[in-house]
Amino acid sequence: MHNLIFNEIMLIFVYNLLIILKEGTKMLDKNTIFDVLTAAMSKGADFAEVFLDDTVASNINYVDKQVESTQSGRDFGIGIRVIRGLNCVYAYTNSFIKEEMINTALKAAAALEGVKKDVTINLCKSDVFNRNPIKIMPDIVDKSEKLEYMKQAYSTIMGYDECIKQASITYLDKIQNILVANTEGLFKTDKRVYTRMAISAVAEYNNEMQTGFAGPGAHKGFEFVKEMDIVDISRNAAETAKKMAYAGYCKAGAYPVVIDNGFGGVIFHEACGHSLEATSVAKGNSVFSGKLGEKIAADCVTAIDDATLPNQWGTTNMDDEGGETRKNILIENGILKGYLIDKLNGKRMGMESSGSGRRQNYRYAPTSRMSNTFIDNGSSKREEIIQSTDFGLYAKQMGGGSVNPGTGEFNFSVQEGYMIRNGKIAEPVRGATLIGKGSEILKNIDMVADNLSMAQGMCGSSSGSVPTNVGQPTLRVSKITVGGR
Amino acid sequence: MKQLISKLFEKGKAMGFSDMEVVFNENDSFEVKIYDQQIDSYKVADSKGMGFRGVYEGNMGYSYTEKIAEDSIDILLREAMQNAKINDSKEQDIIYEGSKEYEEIDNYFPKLDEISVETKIEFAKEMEKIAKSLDSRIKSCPYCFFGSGSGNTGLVNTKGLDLKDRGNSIYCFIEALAQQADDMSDGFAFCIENDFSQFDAHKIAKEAVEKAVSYLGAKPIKSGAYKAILLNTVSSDILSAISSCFSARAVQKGISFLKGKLGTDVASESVTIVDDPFMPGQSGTSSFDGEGVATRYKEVISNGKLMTYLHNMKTARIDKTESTGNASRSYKSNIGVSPTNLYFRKSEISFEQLEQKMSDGIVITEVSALHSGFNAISGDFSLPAKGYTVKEGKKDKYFRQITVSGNYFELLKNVISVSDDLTFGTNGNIGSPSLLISNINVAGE
Repeated sequence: MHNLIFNEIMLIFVYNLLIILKEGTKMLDKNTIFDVLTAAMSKGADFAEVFLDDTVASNINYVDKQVESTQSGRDFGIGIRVIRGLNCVYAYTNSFIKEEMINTALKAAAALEGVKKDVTINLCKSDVFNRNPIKIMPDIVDKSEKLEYMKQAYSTIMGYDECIKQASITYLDKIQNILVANTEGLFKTDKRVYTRMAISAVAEYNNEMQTGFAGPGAHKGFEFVKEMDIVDISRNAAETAKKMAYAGYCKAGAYPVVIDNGFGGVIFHEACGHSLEATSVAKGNSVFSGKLGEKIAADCVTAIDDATLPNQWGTTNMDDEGGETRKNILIENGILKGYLIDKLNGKRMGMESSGSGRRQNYRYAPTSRMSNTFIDNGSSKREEIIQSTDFGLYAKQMGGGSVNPGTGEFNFSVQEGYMIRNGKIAEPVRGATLIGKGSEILKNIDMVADNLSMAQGMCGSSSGSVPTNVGQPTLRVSKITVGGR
Repeated sequence: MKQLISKLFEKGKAMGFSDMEVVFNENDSFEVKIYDQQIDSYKVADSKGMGFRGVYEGNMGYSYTEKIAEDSIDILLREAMQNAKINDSKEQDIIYEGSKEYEEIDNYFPKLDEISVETKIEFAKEMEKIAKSLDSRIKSCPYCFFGSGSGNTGLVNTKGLDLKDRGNSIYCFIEALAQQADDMSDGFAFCIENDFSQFDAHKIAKEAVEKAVSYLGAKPIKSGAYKAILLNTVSSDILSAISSCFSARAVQKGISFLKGKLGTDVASESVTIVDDPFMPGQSGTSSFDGEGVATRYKEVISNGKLMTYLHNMKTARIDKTESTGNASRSYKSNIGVSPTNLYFRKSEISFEQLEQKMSDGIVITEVSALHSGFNAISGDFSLPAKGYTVKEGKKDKYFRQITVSGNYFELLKNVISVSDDLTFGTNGNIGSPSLLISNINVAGE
């Protein structure tokens, strides 16, 4: 039995590898890449890189018992990056004609006018290990089959309760074929397949509307949708909306907050993750600049960024600079152990890339970004954390948030919240936001449970919007400013 | 392009599409970022995109490509056909034969093309240099950039419509980061204009620096209800976050708080909100909308009363009214609804007079987290904010790390007056003067 599964996985693996190899060579031939890189180096530069992106994306939105919109198409373009010293020039074009691509490369080169150096470019195609086997390519699945699953989610939500007024279901898939080549001889291709559902419910009570949301996604094909418990996920979204519609407002103040596992990890993502990206660390603009080896968090905090977890939303076979991705320990028992580093910022910092150079597509130069970033399991139990809290907020579901990497000030909204009274979860509350500084919050985490789970998000920053996982076990922050009414 | 479009229509017809339409965008853009007087990043791009839609067996299907080549024709038609097949919408979009008249607008300013790359780089360097020289506590400028862009948009369909539009603009932005002991504070300023002579490096740098250093050591104020002024940039950012509520589509879907409020008072008498597609140089300016319908000027809220929702042809048909010329579409999107240039009408009162009028209260100078702390459906907000207190009409103390909360539609009813300092925010097409509000909730100390 084990053997059989193993063989099946191997077959899928080999099949995927073949596709990557076949399409990679089809995307752009070696001679053209060589000529574009040579043009990019023509005015004197240290480094040049070509990033080709040919993506087919598709989305369907279902609202009001009908297809609200469907869109699909082809994103295509080539990005050219030229670096001299710490100066970086980026150019892109949608053109596929060799002369026009060379022209774009020359435009980029002109911005770094200097003395031409002799560079030998020896492109050597190397294979990329595929840690994201795909079972069902989404582009071969009929759109009506995708729609069936969406309808199931829709009717689950609408049938949940009278107060539910609206449901919106979005299905997304994307097949991204990329090629990265640079003057150091790197020449790699990869295929990334993403599938995601975005499910939202709107409940109304007393003329006030509240929403519940779930957005499960993975670095998988259509098997992801087939394997998920869509009814359960939809019910949970509807339940959040209903509970919040009937909830009173959260009281403003500063008190303990218990943040649940899964999407609760957005706290670390926003409050600390961004400040650990070399984008802000390299220039000394982060509160964590120059603090490697120092204690920046409570003993119970260990944080990891791991782009290698198979088939996870934030996982990649290689980063968008062709670099090998890996597991990066960021904080270990409260001590700062590492940053997220891309090539250029690595040069600035005198450090190696951590395989964290990412970008949304060919329109963006890569920079250091998170992948699957989470606070690791601790030793407490979830029940124990709640029982030991006399008064506080229990943030069951977090909403979105943002942070200023310079000051570390963050904020995020609580989508589903409850008061904790005398060690028990009490009445639901809405409208709460958590605000504070990342560096302070890390020190104020005083209990971490053992129930790590992850949730998916799109993280926006200077290199665009990239898929990232956030995650954590249930944890408690001893004091945090809660905005409410 | 013309040849490709006629080939596409020809092939589409053979495949069974009845009406078809193509929209296209062609853009050139440039942006340079400066850090420590060095070029930190430099970006040049020429980008193109083509969106297709066509009616197949009575249903509309959409598709797009960024590879404008013959080998994309089959993908465009195949995807559009598949999308049409699952499109079970009761009300279908239609392809429009054109309005009688279109306003003549040219949003292209040739003088902007004459600004050399060197001038742009120098300007950004100058901003950073000035910012750092103005106050020794300015540690760095994390963002300092200058950019320019120009673009063409076109719409061609098989009903004979062939419309074109073009525009260009320049912009700059600077963020200054101040540090005093362990305390850090940032401030930013920007300028988006179609006239380079309006760009004053000193003025922009000074604004960012003052914003940054003023809040060093600032503490939260006490929680409670305050009389408040929302600074023009703050008000325009909030209006931008809530603007989808004016869309008839959101109303029909039951996700706008303005549902059922047409013809009623939704704001205080001093509030008039205008949608104006004809403002020269504004990013929402155009003579036609995403469906090719001629755009027009209208008051959405007139002295507090909700006059109209924003419509495209489909939402108008459902409500048995006319399109207001507010269909949105990019090559990658389906038809939606969006404002052109949406703003609060200004008054004659200066900002100083507004502060006098408030006498005692707070001025909110910055809010953040508009994408997470704002529920665009209910209008509920809870936003981190910065600002200063006003005592007897004069600036008193700076504060930060507070949240302001409330409901936007209650807030509109609490507007006492608006000032004369209408400005459009970083979003480009949504504007506001500063607003004096009778009551806002603060969570601070």
